[in-house]
Amino acid sequence: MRLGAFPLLISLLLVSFFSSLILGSIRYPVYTILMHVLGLDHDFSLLNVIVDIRLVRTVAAVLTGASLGVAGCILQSLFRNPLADPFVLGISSGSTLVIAVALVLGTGFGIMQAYDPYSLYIAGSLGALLTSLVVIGLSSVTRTAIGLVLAGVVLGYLNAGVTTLIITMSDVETMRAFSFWTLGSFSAAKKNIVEPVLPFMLAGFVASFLAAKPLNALAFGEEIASSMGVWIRGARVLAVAASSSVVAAATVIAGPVGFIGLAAPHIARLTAKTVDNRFIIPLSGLAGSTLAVTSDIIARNIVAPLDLPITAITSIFGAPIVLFLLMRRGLLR
Amino acid sequence: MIKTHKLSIGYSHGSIVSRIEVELRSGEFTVVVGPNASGKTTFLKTLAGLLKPVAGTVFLGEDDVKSLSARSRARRVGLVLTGRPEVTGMLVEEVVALGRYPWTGPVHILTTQDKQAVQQAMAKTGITHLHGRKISELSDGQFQRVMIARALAQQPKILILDEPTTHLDTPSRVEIMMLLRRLAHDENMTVVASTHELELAFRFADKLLLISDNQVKSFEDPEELINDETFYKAFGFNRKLSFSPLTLTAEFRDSSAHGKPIVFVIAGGGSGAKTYRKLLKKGIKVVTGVLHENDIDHHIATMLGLEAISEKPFQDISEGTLVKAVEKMLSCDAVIYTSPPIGENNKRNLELLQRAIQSNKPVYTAHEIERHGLNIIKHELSIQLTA
Repeated sequence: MRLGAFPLLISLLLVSFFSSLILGSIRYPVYTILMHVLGLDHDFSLLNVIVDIRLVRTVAAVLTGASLGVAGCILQSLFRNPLADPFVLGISSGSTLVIAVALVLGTGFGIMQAYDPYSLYIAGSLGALLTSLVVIGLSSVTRTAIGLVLAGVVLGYLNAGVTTLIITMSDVETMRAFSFWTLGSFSAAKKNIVEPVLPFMLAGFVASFLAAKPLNALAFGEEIASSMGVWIRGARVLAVAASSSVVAAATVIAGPVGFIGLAAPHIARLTAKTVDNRFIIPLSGLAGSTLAVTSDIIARNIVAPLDLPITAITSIFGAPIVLFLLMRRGLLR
Repeated sequence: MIKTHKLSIGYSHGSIVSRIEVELRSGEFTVVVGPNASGKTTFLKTLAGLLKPVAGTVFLGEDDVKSLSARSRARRVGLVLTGRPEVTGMLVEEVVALGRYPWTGPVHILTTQDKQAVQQAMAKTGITHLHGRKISELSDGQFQRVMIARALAQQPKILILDEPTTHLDTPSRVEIMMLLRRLAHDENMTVVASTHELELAFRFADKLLLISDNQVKSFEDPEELINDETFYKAFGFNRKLSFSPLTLTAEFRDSSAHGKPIVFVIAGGGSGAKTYRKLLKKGIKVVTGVLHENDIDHHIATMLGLEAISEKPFQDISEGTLVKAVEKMLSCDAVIYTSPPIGENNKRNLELLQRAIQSNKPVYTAHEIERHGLNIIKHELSIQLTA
């Protein structure tokens, strides 16, 4: 266990956070931006507007990244599978699917407004929960690490397919409102969506931290865990509820984002040199945030002023990690 | 203490073993034996409270195991299962500390007391020096000790282990069994382990449970178990394969030697055992004598299914026995003298040897066979047979 992992990952997050505020298609002196962010400058100008937009966007990236990192860590421990992650297992897309259904039905029958964050969140967590349950069912059938991942990928395609079908059949307004959720991007993150979702997300983080103890015990299988006093069903419910609640929040804010949940726990374990989830869950959150913010900086600066979908960037670093893990574990042979 | 009352075990679709009435006391090392798929694992998991009984009750001390919460059950019973789960990155000390699970709070922060319990568990199992090692780097024997230490860190009064010696090398097997017996005797724990290795079970157990044929029988000592009629049936022992209650070892009788050349072996005091096995392996039929009934060679010869000319214990070889031996020996194709220790009781074996030489039988010493191999005798035998 290397306790230096905490200060290291916190400083990386801070660096990426401020870089995200400073870097953009319109450049301003660093000093001016810092003064504004720290609230020492009350001058309303174009600069402030731009920085506010960047600030919201960066905060959205931090929260989404943390959610995905934490959820990835929980899923990897729960399924004892180093390749598990909300995106790979189809949980993010399940969340998106139910959001699509809610949008179409809700706006269609006039019970819900297109951007009502609470309805979106409830729909998103319902989708995440349902998909997680399906994945748990599949995991008892497949039994191999690679089998579970394949099942999850297929499930993800199924969810995405049905989502596209539903949205295509809906009216133009809904289609437009929904379009950004399918891509995965922080470009449309708004204060009025991020703020209401925040308490649920925080509750999810607390639940995730409490899941660390039973998840550690589950490393040796359910029977040994049970003999050590783990209430297996309770532990599973806690872990699935915690990961679903944070994945739903991430999906509502940014849509499905791939590979952050997969990579963050591995980065956390490598830097901290431990697999103890009490440390790895918060560290995965920090690593996930840093990855999300960094990816977002790249996504909006690499071909500025165009804004790329965030998954385009995360795949570029995520895919090699997956391949590396597959080869190291001998899963490709 | 574990006690069962009208216990039936199995899975939802039916019971494997029913009407189990056993009482396992603290300070006793109980070993559960039985053929494969007889229900050993199911029985142990039911005792540990992991599986619900199909019917009946398991009492841990005074309480029905069903009435206990997972947490209070874990404070009473530690469990070690067979197999080695693939866990990477954990250190020995962290794994043992997991055993504090039923004692720590929601964040698993170890108090001084918890840390002490972890240290004690490692000391009792002799793994203190391994505390900073990764468990993925340990040998199978060391890993099994870590799993036992983890269970001991729960500070239970009862320890249940399913096949703890499977996949281990012989020294590790013996060490694990000695450790378990020590935990029962010195720590006054109730220790229950299953194994399919009878020889190991018989050597170390204070009490034996035999699971077979839909029932559990309890025995205080191995001989009682070996002589029970269910035992031979349960393990498929028969005329060829038998189990000795004296040496506590399994013996195989090779009946394929019939009709082949016959060798008479003059033995005694354990000098013949090696020669018997060597000849039997080559498919040569063996007759031996003159052996006293309390002689180790006599016992081994009987277990191997050899014909033995024998004399009553502690009596000089009688004229009648000697005549019988000479008659038998002269009908054999060759004689091997294994240089047994000669005393007052068996000195007439020398007369036997003399008769062999006088009557021109090919005679070899065990020493010669040791040096030149069995081929010299084979050569001789083929000449004899063709002549």
